[in-house]
Amino acid sequence: MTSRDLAQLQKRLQQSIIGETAFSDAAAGTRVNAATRTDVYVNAYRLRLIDALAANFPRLQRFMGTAAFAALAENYLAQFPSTSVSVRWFGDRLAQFLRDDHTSAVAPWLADLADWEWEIAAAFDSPDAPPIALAALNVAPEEWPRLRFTLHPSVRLLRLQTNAVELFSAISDDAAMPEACMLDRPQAYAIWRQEFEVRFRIQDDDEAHTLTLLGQDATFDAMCGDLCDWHEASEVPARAASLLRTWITDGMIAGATSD
Amino acid sequence: MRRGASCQQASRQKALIAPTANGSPLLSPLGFGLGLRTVHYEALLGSHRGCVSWLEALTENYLVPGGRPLDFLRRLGEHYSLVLHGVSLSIGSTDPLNLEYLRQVRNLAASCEAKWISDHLCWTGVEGINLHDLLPLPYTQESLQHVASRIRQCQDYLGRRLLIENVSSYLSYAGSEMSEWEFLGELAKRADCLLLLDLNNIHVSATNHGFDPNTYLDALPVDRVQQIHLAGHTRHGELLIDTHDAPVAEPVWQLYDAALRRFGPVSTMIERDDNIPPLEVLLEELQRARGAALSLRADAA
Repeated sequence: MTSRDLAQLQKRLQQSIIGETAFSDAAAGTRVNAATRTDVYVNAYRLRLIDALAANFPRLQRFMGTAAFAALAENYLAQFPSTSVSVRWFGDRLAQFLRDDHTSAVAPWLADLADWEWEIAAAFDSPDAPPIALAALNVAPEEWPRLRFTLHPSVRLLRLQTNAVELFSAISDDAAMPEACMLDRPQAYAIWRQEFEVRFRIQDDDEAHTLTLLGQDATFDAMCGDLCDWHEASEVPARAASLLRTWITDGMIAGATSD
Repeated sequence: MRRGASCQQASRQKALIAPTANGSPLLSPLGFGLGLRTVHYEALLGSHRGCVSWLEALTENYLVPGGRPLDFLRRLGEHYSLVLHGVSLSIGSTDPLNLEYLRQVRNLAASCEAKWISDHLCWTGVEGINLHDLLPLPYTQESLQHVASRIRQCQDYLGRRLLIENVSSYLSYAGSEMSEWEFLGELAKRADCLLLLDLNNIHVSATNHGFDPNTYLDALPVDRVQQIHLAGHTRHGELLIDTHDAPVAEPVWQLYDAALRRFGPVSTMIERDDNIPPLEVLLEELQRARGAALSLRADAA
């Protein structure tokens, strides 16, 4: 057997496991035939990856029901087999898969729920960084316009079209399930981690816009400029200061600099 | 197997990692431990703190950027020796080695001061796919050379010897040229690595393929066995399935006695992956392992 033979052998077994095709390289065993032996790997693969997806999306699974979720997982697995070293990252494209799927027209909340559940988990084990304290804002007045901020690495900003967050919370709390529906207008949310607790809240449009802006390295001056789209110029400084205070108090800001 | 040829090859290879002062490649034993599982975090840090001397953490569970999992590992490391046990090295794959994965493992091992790092004698996928299964290799000279060379590359990068664990298997390949124990024993010498013996896996594979597990143990080099896993399994028709979800079975305890006689007081732990009972239950099971080691020592005295 050459190294090319070994590579070909591995491709053939992998193809058998993924595609459930026959594998002819197994030795004929005593008591149990080669096909039954190969089937152990074929069946274990599907079950293991369905379980892994369910572990990453437990609330989506509960919302859909075990059978419907398993069918979704099989379809997803067929299109996107895992390429990560850890099953922790299996399902990274599930929300988009659901959006692209024809069922999204009748159940658009499934994609939002998958998105939300994934981002909550991402905040849970996102990088650590000490949040800044309000004292970091004690800078000379002339430096204020040039201030730039670094969002805490756990911060996720989402805009959802459906009441997926309400569904998620009801499942988490074991509460009565509200009816899934489209929202009148898209709603912005922030997810982040404070110490080790994952938090989230609804954001007003001006808050969502300016926090996104700061995450893109914009200055405080630019933030104030954009707030004029929502507020009278005279109200902008107070609103900007209030937003910053909230973000810092909540642990969403990991750095401030006027360089 | 062309043993003569392989020995010559091995002797030409430079020893990359020096033997310890007494000439043995083995690391200091850690005694009795457990596989670290999230459901036991609180008990291990609280009511049962110090109940074992070491814990085996599943490498991939801690290859995350930050947050609570790494904080728990850090806190556990203050009270227990830690070792890392991976499932995604895919040392037998014909895909290129995943250097980014190795970099992450090296960093994790440094940050938690892991006493050693282990993974499996298997491949997990090719063409960039991870099947998340521990697939057996054909036991050929070609595979032996391939795996030995990759273990050496990993050891060079990590700056330490790896422990390689035998997996349970359900199929064997028509093209195999030697037994698994001949392969593993020769691999340990050629790659200059250490071995993690999963006695349940030996029992499962012995039953599935119809070999004598004692032949397996007797063939392995005594100075390479660094760690032992004890675990349970499930019968599925004519095959035993390595579910690691049940108490250690009686034949595996018997194999443990035989392993202790051959390899001495090797660091031993119970590896439960599913259907995980309260910590007390696993500690009680571990007590039997301690008892077996003690009675062996008493016999020897």
